[in-house]
Amino acid sequence: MLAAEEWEVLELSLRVAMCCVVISLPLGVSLGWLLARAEFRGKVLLDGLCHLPLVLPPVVTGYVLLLLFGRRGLLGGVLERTLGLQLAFNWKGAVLASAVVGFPLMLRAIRLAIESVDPRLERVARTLGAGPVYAFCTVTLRLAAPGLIVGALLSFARSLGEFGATIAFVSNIQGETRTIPSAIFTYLNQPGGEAPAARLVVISVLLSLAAMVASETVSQRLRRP
Amino acid sequence: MLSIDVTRELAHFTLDVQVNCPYTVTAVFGPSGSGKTSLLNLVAGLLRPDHGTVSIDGDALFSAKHGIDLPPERRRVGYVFQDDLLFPHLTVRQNLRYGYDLLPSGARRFAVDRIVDLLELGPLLERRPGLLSGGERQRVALGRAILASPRLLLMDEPLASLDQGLKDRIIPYLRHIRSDLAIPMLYVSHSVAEILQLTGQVIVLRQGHVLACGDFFDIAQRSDVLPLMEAHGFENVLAVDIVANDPAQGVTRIRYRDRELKVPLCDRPPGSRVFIGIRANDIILCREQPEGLSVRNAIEGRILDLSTVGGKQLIYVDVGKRLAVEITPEAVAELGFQAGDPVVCLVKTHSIRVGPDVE
Amino acid sequence: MKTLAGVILLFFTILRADAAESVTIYAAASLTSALEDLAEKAKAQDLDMRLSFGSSSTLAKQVVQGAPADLYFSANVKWMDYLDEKGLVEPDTRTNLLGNALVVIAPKGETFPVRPEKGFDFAGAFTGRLALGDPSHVPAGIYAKQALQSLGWWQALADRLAPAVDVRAALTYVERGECKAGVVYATDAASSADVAVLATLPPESHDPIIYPVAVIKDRNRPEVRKALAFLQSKPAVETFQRYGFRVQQTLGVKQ
Repeated sequence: MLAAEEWEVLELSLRVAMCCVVISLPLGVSLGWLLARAEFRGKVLLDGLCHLPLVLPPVVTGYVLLLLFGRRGLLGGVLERTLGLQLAFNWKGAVLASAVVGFPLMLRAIRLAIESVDPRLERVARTLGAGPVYAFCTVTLRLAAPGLIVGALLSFARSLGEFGATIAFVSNIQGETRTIPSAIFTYLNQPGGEAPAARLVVISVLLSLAAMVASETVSQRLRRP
Repeated sequence: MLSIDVTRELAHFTLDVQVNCPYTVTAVFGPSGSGKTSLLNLVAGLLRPDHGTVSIDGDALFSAKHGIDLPPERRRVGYVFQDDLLFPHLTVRQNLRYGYDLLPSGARRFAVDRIVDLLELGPLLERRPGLLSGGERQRVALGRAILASPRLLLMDEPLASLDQGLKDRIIPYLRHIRSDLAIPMLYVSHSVAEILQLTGQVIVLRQGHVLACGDFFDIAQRSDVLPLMEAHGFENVLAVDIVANDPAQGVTRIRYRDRELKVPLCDRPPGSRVFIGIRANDIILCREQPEGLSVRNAIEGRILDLSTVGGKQLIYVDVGKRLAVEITPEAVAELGFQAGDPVVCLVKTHSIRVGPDVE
Repeated sequence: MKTLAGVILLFFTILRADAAESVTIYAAASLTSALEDLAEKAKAQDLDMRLSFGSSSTLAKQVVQGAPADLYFSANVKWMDYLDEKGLVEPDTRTNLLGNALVVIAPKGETFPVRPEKGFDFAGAFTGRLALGDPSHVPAGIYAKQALQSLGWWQALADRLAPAVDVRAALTYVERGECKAGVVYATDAASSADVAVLATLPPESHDPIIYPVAVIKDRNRPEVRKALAFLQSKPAVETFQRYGFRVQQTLGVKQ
């Protein structure tokens, strides 16, 4: 049904999308909490900054990632020296590109979910003997869980479709950074590539649908009275 | 013993309270916006005083001088809110155990089963809060706070959102908590009737200041305190014995001291003791037992004193307990009431409210 | 109601007025700097050139789908042929205007010796990936692959590529030091201050790099012909040469 190449692309895309969600969630929850509950100067600025990837053209985002995380970049150099981590031309770079581009979507969902939880519930938990982190996790986070799942799903789906930033940052290396959208792009640029491209499109859609169904199921379970 | 000596800027005034509360239950009474909730929040550690100290039995919860400010989870101060604030994602059992499970087993003063029995929560244990009635939720909230083994229980108008019948049903539980579990309580309410069923010790707050502090009946008639109570419908509370229920007549006969009175039909068994409430402005005074009147209830007594408060005339009558009676100044002048005069207090059967059992 | 109609009419008039006078040119990315420069100069001649840059393949596909290009300026004969076969080229307007060369570049300050001949161990001369346009569809990449294959260097590098979405991106990779070597057009290398040219690949090692330009079918308006003539005029030719292009066609064009 699928050529070996296409399996490779599929596996890579799934790997990138899942890692993207895993690294985005902690940051999404932290910033979501900060923007939902805390008051501080510069809050509006932080909010705007987090939404930047939403308004920038993905290719520009990719270029900015190259500037920051490339070998000579501000952060890239540090990462390479301390952790030996290289991100350019690497599937890890694709993960970063997806994470950055999908972050505003995830953040919004999480923030809204936390805002909808009565803050007094956490205070009650504190009077019952729970420390601030335990109270947050067992009460607010647990009640905001459906929103977290929506956020994760959005990030996952966005990653599956992410093209511009990825191709600008990590280029289109078969087996390493050729995710589904990049592969579709490549196939379309070759004569007779419509068929494999179409197959990948169908797979992409099916994956997104599957993710949506999964997240709905989990959400329902969490909400059951 | 709870000791509070704090000041704190609030939105409209400064909260400035110095009190010691040695009793098991101390009520905090005052109009809306007088700072009652803020006071509780200061004791709970949810609000930080600007200056002062808060301590229980000598242990400082907050001390500006020594830089002590225990976070709420270390204070062991329970809090029951007007909105029960049960955790909607947990069952009743899980709610009850939330604080309990966080305690080291040696620190747990009460067993879960004991509290479940005390508050009659057995049949509700596996339900979610969304499916409970208001009264059931408040009982769970009480149980949850108690099971965290607090050394002080703060209650912020816990019965305010319940109807009278429910209130009457929950007050006995509160009395149980007071007498069986011996947990000190700071009980905020603006219902005098509610307070009186739990304690005689009251702190009156107004605009962030302690207006009066002490025995309720001593301070209730002060000219500065009385208007506050009047505003919330001052209700006299008496303890009486049920004699018999008379469904045919629609009344229940009760005995107060050696008089028999009729109250609206209730379902208490003969021989039990209950509280009844009579509002001050539902009592009629006359100099002698009247004839030919539809009013069934007549209680003899002697006038203790009179006071005028904000255009209203209050007469305190000793009927074995001090009754407050509100009548027009015109009537007082016309009938020449004076301290020491014998009088008869008349109350319509249906002006009497039957309250909870006396434990 | 009348005012609304009047406003709408005015709006469309303005639109049409604009469309009537400007010439839309779809051009390969490698022509960016040169054409932008020329567009400035064209203004002096009352010529409004609207430029749209991209990879020749993408642009060609867009034209096939009806994109409003008046002139198509490709980096590759293949894609011009593609349009020609589809009957989208105005007859007798196709001109092989420019040529280019391929160079090997490295980040400035990190140069190493390269001999553009068979037998030189190019793959062993640097670490990491080689930046180039995606050989599967970007013309610069296609030429680069040809050259590398003909020099016998391709085998060792086939899985050390960084296939960029277009040649400018490949240039950026080398400028940023992400890649220690890259293959781009001579014109791209000339435009960047952050790369150094290590060697020019022999013209015989790849198909001639020809930049054909043509008028798209049914868009043969006076101002479009004027633009085409401008691109072949002496000042334009000098500009192209300044940017490093080889100029193929002599002056003059059929009106």
